[in-house]
Amino acid sequence: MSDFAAIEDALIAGVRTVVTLPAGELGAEKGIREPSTMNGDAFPHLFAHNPGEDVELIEFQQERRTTRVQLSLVTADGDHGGLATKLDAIRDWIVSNRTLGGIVLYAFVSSRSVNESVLTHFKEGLLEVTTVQEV
Amino acid sequence: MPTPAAADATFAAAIATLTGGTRMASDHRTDLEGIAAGTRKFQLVDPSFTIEQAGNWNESPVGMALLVSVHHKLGAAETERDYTADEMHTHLASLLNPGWWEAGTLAATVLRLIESPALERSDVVRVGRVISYRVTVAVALKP
Repeated sequence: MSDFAAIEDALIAGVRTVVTLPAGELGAEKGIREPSTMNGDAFPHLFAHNPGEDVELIEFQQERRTTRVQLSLVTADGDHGGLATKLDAIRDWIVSNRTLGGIVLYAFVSSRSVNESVLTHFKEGLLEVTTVQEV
Repeated sequence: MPTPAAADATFAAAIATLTGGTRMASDHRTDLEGIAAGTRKFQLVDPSFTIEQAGNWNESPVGMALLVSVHHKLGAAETERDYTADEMHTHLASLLNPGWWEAGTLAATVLRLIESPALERSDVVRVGRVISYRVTVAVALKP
Protein backbone atom coordinates (compact mmCIF):
# COMPACT_ATOMS: atom_id res chain seq x y z
CA MET A 1 0.00 0.00 0.00
CA SER A 2 1.29 3.46 -0.84
CA ASP A 3 1.97 6.09 1.79
CA PHE A 4 -0.85 8.16 0.32
CA ALA A 5 -3.32 5.27 0.59
CA ALA A 6 -2.29 4.52 4.18
CA ILE A 7 -2.95 8.10 5.22
CA GLU A 8 -6.24 8.21 3.32
CA ASP A 9 -7.40 4.95 4.89
CA ALA A 10 -6.50 6.21 8.37
CA LEU A 11 -8.41 9.43 7.78
CA ILE A 12 -11.48 7.60 6.44
CA ALA A 13 -11.46 5.28 9.46
CA GLY A 14 -11.10 8.26 11.79
CA VAL A 15 -13.92 10.22 10.17
CA ARG A 16 -16.18 7.21 10.57
CA THR A 17 -15.73 7.39 14.33
CA VAL A 18 -17.26 10.89 14.50
CA VAL A 19 -19.52 11.13 11.43
CA THR A 20 -22.12 8.55 10.53
CA LEU A 21 -21.56 7.43 6.95
CA PRO A 22 -23.14 4.62 4.91
CA ALA A 23 -21.25 1.38 5.44
CA GLY A 24 -18.21 0.37 3.43
CA GLU A 25 -17.46 1.89 0.04
CA LEU A 26 -21.02 3.14 -0.19
CA GLY A 27 -20.09 5.84 2.31
CA ALA A 28 -16.40 6.54 1.77
CA GLU A 29 -13.74 6.03 -0.84
CA LYS A 30 -10.32 7.07 -2.00
CA GLY A 31 -10.54 9.29 -5.06
CA ILE A 32 -13.42 11.52 -6.13
CA ARG A 33 -16.28 11.44 -8.60
CA GLU A 34 -19.33 13.41 -9.55
CA PRO A 35 -21.93 13.20 -6.73
CA SER A 36 -24.87 13.50 -9.13
CA THR A 37 -23.96 10.12 -10.59
CA MET A 38 -24.27 8.40 -7.22
CA ASN A 39 -27.27 6.79 -5.56
CA GLY A 40 -29.05 8.76 -2.88
CA ASP A 41 -28.24 6.20 -0.17
CA ALA A 42 -24.51 6.95 -0.59
CA PHE A 43 -24.79 10.24 1.30
CA PRO A 44 -23.31 11.71 3.34
CA HIS A 45 -20.28 10.52 1.41
CA LEU A 46 -16.61 11.01 2.15
CA PHE A 47 -13.95 11.30 -0.52
CA ALA A 48 -10.25 11.21 0.40
CA HIS A 49 -8.56 12.56 -2.69
CA ASN A 50 -5.88 14.59 -4.42
CA PRO A 51 -2.95 13.59 -2.19
CA GLY A 52 0.27 15.49 -2.67
CA GLU A 53 3.66 15.63 -1.03
CA ASP A 54 6.58 18.01 -0.57
CA VAL A 55 9.94 16.69 0.61
CA GLU A 56 12.63 18.64 2.41
CA LEU A 57 16.09 17.12 2.75
CA ILE A 58 17.41 17.76 6.25
CA GLU A 59 20.65 16.84 8.02
CA PHE A 60 22.12 13.38 7.49
CA GLN A 61 20.09 13.07 4.30
CA GLN A 62 16.90 12.54 6.21
CA GLU A 63 13.62 13.43 4.52
CA ARG A 64 10.88 15.53 6.06
CA ARG A 65 7.82 14.55 4.04
CA THR A 66 4.85 16.88 4.19
CA THR A 67 1.76 15.23 2.73
CA ARG A 68 -1.58 16.88 2.05
CA VAL A 69 -4.85 15.00 1.53
CA GLN A 70 -8.20 16.56 0.67
CA LEU A 71 -11.26 15.27 2.47
CA SER A 72 -14.60 16.10 0.88
CA LEU A 73 -17.66 15.32 2.95
CA VAL A 74 -20.60 15.64 0.55
CA THR A 75 -24.20 15.82 1.68
CA ALA A 76 -27.26 15.68 -0.55
CA ASP A 77 -29.80 17.15 1.77
CA GLY A 78 -27.97 18.40 4.84
CA ASP A 79 -28.13 21.93 6.13
CA HIS A 80 -25.26 24.36 6.24
CA GLY A 81 -24.84 24.31 10.02
CA GLY A 82 -25.00 20.55 10.26
CA LEU A 83 -22.21 20.14 7.74
CA ALA A 84 -20.04 22.69 9.54
CA THR A 85 -20.59 20.79 12.78
CA LYS A 86 -19.38 17.59 11.11
CA LEU A 87 -16.23 19.41 9.96
CA ASP A 88 -15.65 20.48 13.56
CA ALA A 89 -15.92 16.85 14.66
CA ILE A 90 -13.44 15.70 12.03
CA ARG A 91 -10.96 18.43 12.97
CA ASP A 92 -11.31 17.62 16.65
CA TRP A 93 -10.72 13.92 15.95
CA ILE A 94 -7.47 14.78 14.18
CA VAL A 95 -6.45 17.06 17.06
CA SER A 96 -6.93 14.10 19.39
CA ASN A 97 -5.22 11.61 17.06
CA ARG A 98 -2.27 13.53 15.69
CA THR A 99 -0.28 10.49 14.60
CA LEU A 100 -3.20 8.80 12.80
CA GLY A 101 -2.52 5.62 14.69
CA GLY A 102 1.25 5.97 14.56
CA ILE A 103 1.73 6.22 10.80
CA VAL A 104 2.81 9.88 10.78
CA LEU A 105 4.70 12.18 13.12
CA TYR A 106 1.74 14.50 13.36
CA ALA A 107 -1.30 15.62 11.39
CA PHE A 108 -3.39 18.74 11.40
CA VAL A 109 -6.23 20.32 9.47
CA SER A 110 -4.55 23.03 7.43
CA SER A 111 -7.74 24.45 5.90
CA ARG A 112 -11.50 23.98 5.99
CA SER A 113 -14.40 25.33 3.99
CA VAL A 114 -18.05 24.67 3.25
CA ASN A 115 -18.69 24.87 -0.46
CA GLU A 116 -22.23 25.59 -1.62
CA SER A 117 -23.81 26.62 -4.91
CA VAL A 118 -27.23 27.70 -6.05
CA LEU A 119 -26.77 25.32 -8.98
CA THR A 120 -26.84 22.12 -6.95
CA HIS A 121 -28.39 20.69 -3.81
CA PHE A 122 -25.09 19.04 -2.87
CA LYS A 123 -22.97 20.68 -0.22
CA GLU A 124 -19.30 19.93 0.24
CA GLY A 125 -17.35 20.20 3.47
CA LEU A 126 -13.73 20.37 2.33
CA LEU A 127 -10.81 19.80 4.65
CA GLU A 128 -7.15 19.78 3.76
CA VAL A 129 -5.24 17.54 6.12
CA THR A 130 -1.48 18.00 6.31
CA THR A 131 0.76 15.29 7.75
CA VAL A 132 4.47 15.29 8.48
CA GLN A 133 6.80 12.30 8.53
CA GLU A 134 10.56 12.19 9.01
CA VAL A 135 12.58 9.25 7.73
CA MET B 1 56.00 10.61 19.96
CA PRO B 2 52.80 9.96 18.01
CA THR B 3 52.27 12.29 15.09
CA PRO B 4 49.03 14.25 15.07
CA ALA B 5 47.84 12.05 12.21
CA ALA B 6 48.59 8.88 14.17
CA ALA B 7 46.94 10.35 17.25
CA ASP B 8 43.87 11.25 15.18
CA ALA B 9 43.58 7.63 14.08
CA THR B 10 44.04 6.41 17.65
CA PHE B 11 41.36 8.77 18.96
CA ALA B 12 38.99 7.77 16.14
CA ALA B 13 39.50 4.08 16.86
CA ALA B 14 38.83 4.58 20.57
CA ILE B 15 35.67 6.57 19.90
CA ALA B 16 34.48 3.97 17.39
CA THR B 17 35.01 1.18 19.93
CA LEU B 18 33.25 3.11 22.67
CA THR B 19 30.22 4.25 20.68
CA GLY B 20 29.95 1.44 18.16
CA GLY B 21 29.85 4.10 15.48
CA THR B 22 31.74 4.67 12.28
CA ARG B 23 33.53 7.87 11.34
CA MET B 24 31.77 9.99 8.74
CA ALA B 25 33.59 10.74 5.52
CA SER B 26 33.41 14.44 6.38
CA ASP B 27 34.26 15.73 9.83
CA HIS B 28 32.63 19.07 9.07
CA ARG B 29 29.46 18.49 7.01
CA THR B 30 26.30 16.66 7.98
CA ASP B 31 24.48 16.77 4.68
CA LEU B 32 26.66 14.46 2.62
CA GLU B 33 25.71 11.07 4.00
CA GLY B 34 22.94 9.36 5.87
CA ILE B 35 22.85 7.17 8.96
CA ALA B 36 21.05 3.82 9.06
CA ALA B 37 18.26 3.59 11.61
CA GLY B 38 19.47 2.41 15.00
CA THR B 39 23.14 3.13 14.29
CA ARG B 40 25.69 5.85 15.01
CA LYS B 41 28.30 7.85 13.20
CA PHE B 42 30.78 10.33 14.57
CA GLN B 43 32.96 13.21 13.49
CA LEU B 44 36.33 14.17 14.93
CA VAL B 45 37.93 17.55 14.43
CA ASP B 46 41.31 17.73 16.17
CA PRO B 47 43.71 20.46 15.07
CA SER B 48 47.15 20.26 16.61
CA PHE B 49 49.26 23.00 18.13
CA THR B 50 52.53 23.42 19.96
CA ILE B 51 52.37 23.87 23.70
CA GLU B 52 54.78 26.58 24.79
CA GLN B 53 56.87 25.61 27.77
CA ALA B 54 59.11 28.30 29.18
CA GLY B 55 62.79 27.42 29.19
CA ASN B 56 62.42 24.12 27.39
CA TRP B 57 61.51 24.90 23.79
CA ASN B 58 63.13 21.82 22.35
CA GLU B 59 60.78 19.54 24.20
CA SER B 60 57.55 21.47 23.81
CA PRO B 61 54.86 18.83 23.41
CA VAL B 62 52.23 18.87 20.73
CA GLY B 63 48.68 19.55 21.82
CA MET B 64 45.46 18.57 20.11
CA ALA B 65 42.11 20.27 20.62
CA LEU B 66 39.40 17.70 19.97
CA LEU B 67 35.80 18.22 19.01
CA VAL B 68 33.92 14.90 19.03
CA SER B 69 30.42 14.86 17.55
CA VAL B 70 28.39 11.68 17.93
CA HIS B 71 25.18 11.23 15.91
CA HIS B 72 22.63 8.51 16.64
CA LYS B 73 19.67 7.80 14.38
CA LEU B 74 16.74 6.34 16.24
CA GLY B 75 15.63 2.88 15.25
CA ALA B 76 12.14 2.28 13.90
CA ALA B 77 10.66 1.39 17.28
CA GLU B 78 13.12 3.39 19.37
CA THR B 79 11.89 6.44 21.25
CA GLU B 80 14.04 9.45 21.90
CA ARG B 81 14.47 8.60 25.58
CA ASP B 82 15.29 4.98 24.79
CA TYR B 83 18.57 6.47 23.62
CA THR B 84 19.07 9.66 25.62
CA ALA B 85 18.29 8.02 28.96
CA ASP B 86 20.35 4.92 28.33
CA GLU B 87 23.11 4.43 25.78
CA MET B 88 23.90 8.12 25.39
CA HIS B 89 24.58 8.39 29.12
CA THR B 90 26.82 5.34 28.99
CA HIS B 91 28.94 6.80 26.20
CA LEU B 92 29.06 10.25 27.76
CA ALA B 93 30.17 8.79 31.06
CA SER B 94 33.36 7.74 29.30
CA LEU B 95 33.83 10.70 26.98
CA LEU B 96 33.38 13.15 29.86
CA ASN B 97 35.65 11.21 32.18
CA PRO B 98 39.19 12.69 32.10
CA GLY B 99 40.58 9.29 33.00
CA TRP B 100 39.12 7.70 29.86
CA TRP B 101 41.32 9.95 27.70
CA GLU B 102 44.48 8.85 29.47
CA ALA B 103 43.82 5.12 29.81
CA GLY B 104 43.42 2.04 27.66
CA THR B 105 44.41 2.40 24.04
CA LEU B 106 44.91 6.14 24.57
CA ALA B 107 47.52 5.72 27.29
CA ALA B 108 50.37 5.51 24.78
CA THR B 109 49.20 8.65 23.00
CA VAL B 110 48.04 11.11 25.66
CA LEU B 111 50.54 12.68 28.04
CA ARG B 112 48.01 14.72 29.97
CA LEU B 113 44.84 16.72 29.57
CA ILE B 114 45.15 20.42 28.84
CA GLU B 115 41.42 21.02 29.06
CA SER B 116 39.00 18.67 30.75
CA PRO B 117 36.34 17.09 28.55
CA ALA B 118 33.22 19.22 28.44
CA LEU B 119 29.73 19.26 27.05
CA GLU B 120 27.34 22.18 27.02
CA ARG B 121 23.66 21.43 27.44
CA SER B 122 23.03 23.14 24.11
CA ASP B 123 25.43 20.67 22.51
CA VAL B 124 22.76 17.96 22.64
CA VAL B 125 20.38 18.44 19.74
CA ARG B 126 17.91 16.49 17.66
CA VAL B 127 17.24 16.98 13.95
CA GLY B 128 14.67 14.65 12.47
CA ARG B 129 15.44 11.22 13.92
CA VAL B 130 19.11 11.95 14.63
CA ILE B 131 20.24 12.92 18.12
CA SER B 132 23.68 14.50 18.33
CA TYR B 133 26.01 15.66 21.06
CA ARG B 134 29.43 17.25 21.06
CA VAL B 135 32.28 16.85 23.50
CA THR B 136 35.39 19.01 23.57
CA VAL B 137 38.70 18.11 25.17
CA ALA B 138 42.30 19.18 24.69
CA VAL B 139 45.27 16.90 25.27
CA ALA B 140 49.03 16.98 25.15
CA LEU B 141 50.56 14.16 23.15
CA LYS B 142 53.33 12.06 24.60
CA PRO B 143 56.77 13.29 23.57
